[in-house]
Amino acid sequence: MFWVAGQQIDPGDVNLNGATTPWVTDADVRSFHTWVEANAHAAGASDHLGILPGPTHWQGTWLRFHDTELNILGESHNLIDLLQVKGAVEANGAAPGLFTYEPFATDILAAGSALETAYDAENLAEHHAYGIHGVADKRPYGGESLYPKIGFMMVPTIPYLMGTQPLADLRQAQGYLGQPVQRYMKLAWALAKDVEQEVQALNLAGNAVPPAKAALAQQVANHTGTLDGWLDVLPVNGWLGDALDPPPNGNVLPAMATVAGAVLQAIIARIPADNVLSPGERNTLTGMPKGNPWQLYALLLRWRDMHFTHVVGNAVATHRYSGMGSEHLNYLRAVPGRLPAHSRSFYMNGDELYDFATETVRLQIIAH
Amino acid sequence: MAVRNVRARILVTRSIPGLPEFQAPLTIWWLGARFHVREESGRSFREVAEDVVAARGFGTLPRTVEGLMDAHIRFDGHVDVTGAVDTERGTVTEPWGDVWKCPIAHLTPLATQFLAGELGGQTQRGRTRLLDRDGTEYTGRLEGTEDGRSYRSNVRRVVSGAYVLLREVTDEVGPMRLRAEVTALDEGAVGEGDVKA
Repeated sequence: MFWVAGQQIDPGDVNLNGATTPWVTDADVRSFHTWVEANAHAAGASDHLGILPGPTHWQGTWLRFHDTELNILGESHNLIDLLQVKGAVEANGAAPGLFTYEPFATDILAAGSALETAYDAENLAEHHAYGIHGVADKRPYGGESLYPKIGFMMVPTIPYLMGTQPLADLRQAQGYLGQPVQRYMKLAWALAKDVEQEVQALNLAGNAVPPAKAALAQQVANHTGTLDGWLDVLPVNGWLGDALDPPPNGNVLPAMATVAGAVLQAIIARIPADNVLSPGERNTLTGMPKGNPWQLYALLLRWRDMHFTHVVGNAVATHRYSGMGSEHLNYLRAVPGRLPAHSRSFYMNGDELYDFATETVRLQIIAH
Repeated sequence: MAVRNVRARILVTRSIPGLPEFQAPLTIWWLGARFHVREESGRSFREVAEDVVAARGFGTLPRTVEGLMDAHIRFDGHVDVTGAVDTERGTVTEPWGDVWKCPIAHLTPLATQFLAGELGGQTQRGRTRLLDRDGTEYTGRLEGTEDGRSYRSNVRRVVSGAYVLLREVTDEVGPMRLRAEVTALDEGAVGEGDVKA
């Protein structure tokens, strides 16, 4: 089914060519504003139109994004993600454009650092899936900073390590929780080891060591013998609950708990030095309460949202798509100015997705 | 046949490891073919709808750190859903204020969740009493595979006349649980203003 300017195209239309003729009789809906747009799509010269691939309830939905501006997509990660959208808009052979995506980091990770090594290993499959595994500098694809995310995941992880939540919840048989917990505990340990190296260098140079870094370095010194060679070599995408069934020794859980707590504090201490943020943003964050888990979640979420604002602001001139959870898009849409000029936003779990689906169904119904 | 006129107040509780537990009041008004749903957990429409339609029966189950973090976000506000079964689209008002139109087929599962429909595949277990009403208990299963692993969720319903007073879903091997219990059922209490878009 093939539509141009609201008219269904019939076989024999004089504007058809070898590329567009099959669209007349196939089952998929394609709808274009003009023949120029249709022919450009057929030639792989556009990257804003496409048919949503499966598997999803919305498979076959005709998608239409902006043809030149930055398209900011808010998604439910389980529903329709950026990879599916890219699959749709690049299925015509369009050259992949630049994009940012929430799971990828914007940070400069020191070459050869433990954190860079762990981050690359943990995200290897995702980098392959998005076609950026061979890209040396992946920061242009980053959707946010890694640090608030590591800090965020420490908050729900610590109670399990301290024994106030059942470790069994972290097993694969019980659900998904144990997988991201393991991934981020490995990243936290890598970050901790890098901080210890940094502290050693500061001490050697006779420079002052920030207290949160000193405390974290001390935890690394205390627990390297317990954790290194065990935590850092756990399999990618494994479940921490399975790795701890049974624990390799009695020291592992308390060691991880104290390291996780020190990592969280060291990450919070980074806020005043986060140069991506404006002074006003840093002040807002440093003034937020940090006394309980809900306050920590709120702080770290706000920090993340601020980064999303900067990422889309920087991407608008060069990128075609920015993918993030819809809650972050809510933050961007809540206040004028957070969404940059020359960008368009789409809820891929709500309003705009249902509009796409409704229009697709409407065309299917009225097709002859 | 009498015009449907009923208001149900439902308490939805959900317990998923690693996610904030919640108890969310949900109110559903029906007047004839028109309905209005209000859910007060501060979650988006998509999340609220998944409580009813998700394959495993537990609502949205985050699989990534990004999803886990999203699940900790609550807005100050509630979801309102209005529509009529004989129309094409209804209206969704998100807790952050966005208002949008949605195909009615995506809204009706939320609105009809307490209406006893087809119980095929359910096993009648016996009589019980809930909300001062006689009811019949039914059990069933949701089975399938997700990410290559098989799952089995046990579903327990208590049905009284035209209404499902309780829907409780538990994971056969884990602690995941979702429970939607009608706490008040008022027939004839719905006026035009309750179902107005």
